[in-house]
Amino acid sequence: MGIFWDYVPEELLHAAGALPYRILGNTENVSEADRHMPTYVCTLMRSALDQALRGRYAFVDGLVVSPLWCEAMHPLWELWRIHAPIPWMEALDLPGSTEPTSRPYFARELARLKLALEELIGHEITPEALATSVQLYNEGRRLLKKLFHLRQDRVSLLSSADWAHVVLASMIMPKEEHNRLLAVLVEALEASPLDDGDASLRLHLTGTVLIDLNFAQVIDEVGASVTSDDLYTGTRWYWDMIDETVAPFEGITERYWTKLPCPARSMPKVRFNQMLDFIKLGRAQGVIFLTEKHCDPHIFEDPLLKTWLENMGIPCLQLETELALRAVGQVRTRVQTFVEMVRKGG
Amino acid sequence: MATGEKRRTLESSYIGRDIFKNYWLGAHKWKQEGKLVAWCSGNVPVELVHANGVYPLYPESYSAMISAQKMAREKCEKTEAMGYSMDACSYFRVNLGMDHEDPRTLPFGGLPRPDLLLTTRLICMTQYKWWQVLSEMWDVPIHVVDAPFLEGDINPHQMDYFVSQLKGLVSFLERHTGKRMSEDRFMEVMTLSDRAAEVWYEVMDLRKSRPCPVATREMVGNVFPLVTLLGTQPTVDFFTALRDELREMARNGQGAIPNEKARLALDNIPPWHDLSFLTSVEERGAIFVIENYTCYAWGGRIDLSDPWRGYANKCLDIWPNYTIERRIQIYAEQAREYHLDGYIFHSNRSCKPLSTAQQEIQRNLLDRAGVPGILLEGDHADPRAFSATQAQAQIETFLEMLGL
Repeated sequence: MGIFWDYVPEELLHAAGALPYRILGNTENVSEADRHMPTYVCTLMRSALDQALRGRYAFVDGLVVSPLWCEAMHPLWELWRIHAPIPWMEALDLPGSTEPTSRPYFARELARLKLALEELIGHEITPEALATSVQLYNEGRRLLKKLFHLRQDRVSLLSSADWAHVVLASMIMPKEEHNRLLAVLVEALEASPLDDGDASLRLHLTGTVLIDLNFAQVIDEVGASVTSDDLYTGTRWYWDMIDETVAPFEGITERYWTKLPCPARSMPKVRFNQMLDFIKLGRAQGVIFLTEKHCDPHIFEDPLLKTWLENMGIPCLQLETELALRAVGQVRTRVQTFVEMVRKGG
Repeated sequence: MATGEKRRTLESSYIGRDIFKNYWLGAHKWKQEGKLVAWCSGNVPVELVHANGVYPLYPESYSAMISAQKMAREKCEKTEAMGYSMDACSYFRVNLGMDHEDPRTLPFGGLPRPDLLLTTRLICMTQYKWWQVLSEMWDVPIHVVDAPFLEGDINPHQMDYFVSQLKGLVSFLERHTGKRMSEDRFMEVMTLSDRAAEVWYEVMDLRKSRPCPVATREMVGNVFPLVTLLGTQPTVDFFTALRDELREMARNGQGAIPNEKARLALDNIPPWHDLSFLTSVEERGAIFVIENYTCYAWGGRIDLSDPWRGYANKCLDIWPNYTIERRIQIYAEQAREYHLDGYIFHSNRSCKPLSTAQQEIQRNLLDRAGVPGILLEGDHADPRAFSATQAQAQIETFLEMLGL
C-alpha cells in the first residue's frame, strides 16, 4: 500500500493487513511526467508521477496521499488516478490550520480512512489489531531514536550516508523485519566504544527531503558528519511516539496531529524552535539547508530561518536540490568551503 | 489591473477606474482615522471583513498593478537579493521588494502596514506561507481561514467545518475591533454580494453576444471590485452600469472590435507586465471574449435563505476546487456558449493551482470537444519569465491555423 507524505498513519494500514510503502520518487531523470505536468512543480511530485507512469509502482494495491492542498500533490493525485490508476486510492484531508478547533476535522478524516480500509478488507479493524500495530511502529521509532542518540558519540562507526540508508529503509521495508535488523545494529553500536576524538565537523541537516545518498556521502567525504536533521525523510518521520496508554485510534490521531509538522502547515517559528532543539542534541556546529526547488513551504520560510540562525551565530549553507544530486563537483566544493569556513570560526 | 486613460472602450469602465483609485487611497485614510487595516491574501472572505469595519487590502492586486506599471522586475530582484528564490510567487517577490521603499515613490502612496494578517487555504498554500513570513517579520497577528479540500461535491462534515472557519474569522475580527458584528450588517453584506454576483453573471452572459461587446483586456480590470469590494453598494452600482451599457451594445449588434472573425478565451491569471497580446490579436480580427480569471475565482450567488451555508458554498465554488474532469467539461461548454475558436493557456510559473493541469485540459479539450489551444510560458507578475516575442509568434501561428 503506497503512502505519500508523512501524515498517513502507517499503523492504520498495517492493522488492516497492509504493508505501508512510502512513495519517495527516484533519482532518475523525469521524462514521461513532463507531458502532464509543468517543470515548475517540485521534482518529488514529478518523479513520483513519472515512476507511476512507467509502471514502477505497479506492485502497490492501494495508495493513500495527504495533504492534497500541497500544490503539487493535487495534480499528482489526479494525474496518477487518470493515467496510472491503482485499484484503491484515498486522500486524507489534513487541515492547514493547527488550531485546536481544526482537530476534530482531522480525526474525522482519519475515521473516514479507517472505514474505507475496513470496506476494502471486508472486516473491522479491531482496537486490538490497532494496538498491536501501534506497538510495532512505536518500537521502530524507539529504535531509530536510540540510534540517533547512540550515534552522537559514535559518529566514526556509522557514516551519515549509512545512517540515512537505515532510516530510508524503515520507510519501505516490512516493519517487523526492519525492527529486527535495527535492534541488531543498535545493540552492536551500544557495545562499541565511544569515539575517541573524532574530528568530524558536526552538522544539522534541514529541508525537504533527502533520498540521494550521494549527498550524505559528500558530507562524510569532506570531513563532516550529519548529527541531526529535521527532514521529511528523517526525524519528522520517526521522532514522535504514539501514546500507548490511551485508546489506539486516539493515540494515532494525537500523534499525527501534534507531530513535528510539515512547514506547509506550521508557522516558521515552530520549525525554528525544533531545529534549535535538534542542533543542541546533535551538538551541531553548522546547518545545511536542502531546499527542494519549487517546494513552496520551504522556499518561503527557509531564508527567514537561515537569517535567524545566522543572527545567533550558527553558520548556514543553503543548497537547492532536485531530489537527485546533479552537479556533484560543485556541491562538493560548496560543502567543503563551508566546512572549512566553520572550522576557522567563520 | 486598469491603468492608462485611453484604453477603455466602455464608458462604465471609468466608474471602475475610480473605484480602483479610491480603494487604494481609502486604505490610507482609514488607517489615519485609527481604524484597522487587514492585509488579505487571495480569496479571504472579503464580505466578512467589510462587515466588521476592517479595511481589507489585497496585496496580490497591488503587486499586479505594480507589474502592469512595469515596476515588478526591480522589486523582484530586491527580494531575491534577500535570499528568496526566483521560484517563489512573483506577487510575493514584488510585495516584499517594496518593504523598505519610500511610499511616495509607489502608486497611491504604497500599501499601509497591516494591523492584521488574514489568510486562507482556499486557493493556494503559497499565500499562506507568504502571510506567515510577514507575520514573523512584522510581529502582526495572523489568522487562517482553513478550508476543506474538495473533490466533487461538498459533504456535510466539510460544510460544517468550513462554516465554523468562517465564524472563526468573525470572532477573530470582533476580538480585534472590540465590536460585535450585527446580524443585520451580516445580512446586508451577503445581500450586496449576491446582488453584485447576479449582475456580474449577466455581464458575463452578455459577452456571449456576437459580436462581443467587450474584450478580456478591459474585463480583467473591471473584475477588481469582485475581488476586493464584494458586499458594498458601489460595486453593485458599477456592475449595473456595466451591464446596462453592454446590454445596449448587444441589442445594437455593436462589438468591441469591427469585423470580428475569431473568438478566444484566456486561461489563468494574465501576465500583467505585458497584456499587449490581448489586444494585438484584434488587428487580425480575433478577440478575447472570456477568461476563467473573472468567472471562477470570486463572486457567486449566495442562498440568502441559508446565509452561512450559502456563503460557504459560494466561497468554495472556485477553480482550484474543481477536478481536472470538471474543468474540461466547463471549458467544453464554455466554448459552445461563447462561440469560441480557441483557448490561450497562460502557463503561469507563479500559480501552480491554476497551471498544473493545463496540459491535460488543453489535450482533452482538443480531443473531446475539438477546441484547439496553445500554452504560453509566463508569469503573472515577473516579466523575466515571459518572452513577448515568443508569445507573439505562437499566437500568430495559432491565428493562422484558425484561418486568420
